Amino acid sequence: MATLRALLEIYGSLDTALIASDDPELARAVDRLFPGSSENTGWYRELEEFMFPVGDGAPPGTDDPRRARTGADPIRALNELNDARTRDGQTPTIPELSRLVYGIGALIRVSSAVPDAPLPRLDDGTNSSLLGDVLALAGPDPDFGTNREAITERLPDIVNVFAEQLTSRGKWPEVAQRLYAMKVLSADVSEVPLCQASVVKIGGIESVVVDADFDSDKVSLNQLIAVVDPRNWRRNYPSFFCSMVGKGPRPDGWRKVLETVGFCYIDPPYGRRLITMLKFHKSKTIENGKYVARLDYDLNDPIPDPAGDGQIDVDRGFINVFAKNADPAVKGVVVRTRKIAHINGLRSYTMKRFVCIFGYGEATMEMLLGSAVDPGSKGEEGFPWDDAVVDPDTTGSKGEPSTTPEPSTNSVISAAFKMAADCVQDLTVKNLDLTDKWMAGQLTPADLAEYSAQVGARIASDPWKFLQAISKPKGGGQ
Amino acid sequence: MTTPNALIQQQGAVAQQLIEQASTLWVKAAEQSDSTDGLGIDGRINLVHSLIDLWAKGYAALVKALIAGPISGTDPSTGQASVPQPSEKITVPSQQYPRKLTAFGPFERLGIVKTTIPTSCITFKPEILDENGTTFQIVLADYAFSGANYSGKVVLTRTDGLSGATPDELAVTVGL
Repeated sequence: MATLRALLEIYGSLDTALIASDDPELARAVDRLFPGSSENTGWYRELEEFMFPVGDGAPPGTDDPRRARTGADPIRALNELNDARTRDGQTPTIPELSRLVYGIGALIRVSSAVPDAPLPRLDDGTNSSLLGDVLALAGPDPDFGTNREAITERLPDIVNVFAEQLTSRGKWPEVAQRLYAMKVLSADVSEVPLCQASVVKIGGIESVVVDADFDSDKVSLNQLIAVVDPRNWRRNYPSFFCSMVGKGPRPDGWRKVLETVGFCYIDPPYGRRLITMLKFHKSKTIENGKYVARLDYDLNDPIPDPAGDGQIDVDRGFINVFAKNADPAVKGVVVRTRKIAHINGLRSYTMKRFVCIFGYGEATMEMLLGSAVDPGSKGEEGFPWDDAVVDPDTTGSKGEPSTTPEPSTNSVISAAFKMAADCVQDLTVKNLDLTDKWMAGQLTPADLAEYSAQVGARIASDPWKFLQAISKPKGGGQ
Repeated sequence: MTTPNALIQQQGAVAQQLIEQASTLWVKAAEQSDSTDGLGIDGRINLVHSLIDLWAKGYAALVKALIAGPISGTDPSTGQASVPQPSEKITVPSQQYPRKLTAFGPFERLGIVKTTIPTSCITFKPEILDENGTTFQIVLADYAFSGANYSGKVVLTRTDGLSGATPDELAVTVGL
């Protein structure tokens, strides 16, 4: 199914519009919904060339999926999604629907705020019926027809909500709740958080961090961890995880899995695959009387692993599941995930768009809102959590001081410890005072000068104080 | 969610690291002095040079952070984070006095105990729990460690000047 492709084209149309227009109003409108867009134009073409390395594999004008590289056409994307439903009975997953509705809303908002923007109007007479068909995929009722009727009745209001209220990325939660209240968006879709991506350096390599925090009262910890094993990721999210093949345990207790991701419906060489050998580790503890399950994963070492292709050279993260109740079989979980990745050959900004559009960092959300709720829907047996070890409760406040050995009172060691303690306390207080002023915007040159004098005094005096201390009479040493 | 200011945390972490390095120098010199060979004049000169070098580096790091000015980790208008989110919230019993949070010893990576985060790279949000405060988060000063779960100990020390209370020690496991 081409949902990911459709998402890419919907989001990419804004990038194409920014390249085609130098209107600063357009840049502002797009940046508020997708920060950094106007400074990083060209990411769509970059992703196209990366994901479809050999260009078109079929003659123009055909529907052959090998016809891979295309311009970013949101109308074609909506048609593709609608056709997938009518032709194949396939609909996007809930996180995909969330990304779809946000993308549609962004297009409507931008074309409303900047009427001259080189973007098609999704809500005009030509396209509004198609728009209604696609928005109905995300409706609250299990029956498509019921959702479609509700959309038909309220389409002008829905368009108005996007145009008037989705003025920035930060407004999305309000807009989603508004659409839910209008009974045109399902609760599950409205509750999916937007992708949170940032960039950090891992081993000197600029890598993208994707954070996702969410909770659910529809699944239990036991249900979720029954599907969270990386060997189940293809089963949970087959659009992007083309295969996840277990490669057995490691001597250190971790396990290996060979991951293959990409546009799975487009075969190589037309669609790129990224192949990475990962290792993963599962643990389960009881903290404050409730179960916590943690899955850690990382590149298998030594690096590079010859089974991988080396295109991804940073890939690590965790999926932490916290039970809300003492009984892990009772529904109610809080989930916190982080994924850090670097893909060779892509700019940092393009990597951010890659992981957010394709849901690379959000496989757990697919599980939480899909496989875990209805494991039978996937039709095959998954890998259980069972190979994890239940550790004893390690939490709790002991009320005991640290067990630092009592220093000797008649040696230089005691002088050293005392000076270290004095220094820590002194500098910590000074730093805290200065930080408070700094954060409040009240720091003045006079404050800096005073601090300089204090630090200067320490620079001048501390080494001599120490020499003085160790020169005093003591027993044992010299 | 607003993330803490990364630069000032980095500065604080650098300062903490320098203090720890200075402490290490002091202790090593003290051990040498306590040994039968003694510290000697060369050892004393080296010690003084090393300590002065450390203080100068710490001051330079602070000034750099101060000049840069306060920045937020999240753009309030877009809700887009510029840095990774802090750890999950950690809950402790309430107390009627403020408590300073410090990491006791390095944090070990879950499943790979040889991989550790030095205490200088571990900061807290907030740094001091107010009276009756019960939750805090752990923030990395060096994101090179992020993307994994770690276990370690946090010490909560009373800061209102009253003596007699022993610090609380809390074992935690967090995703960073």
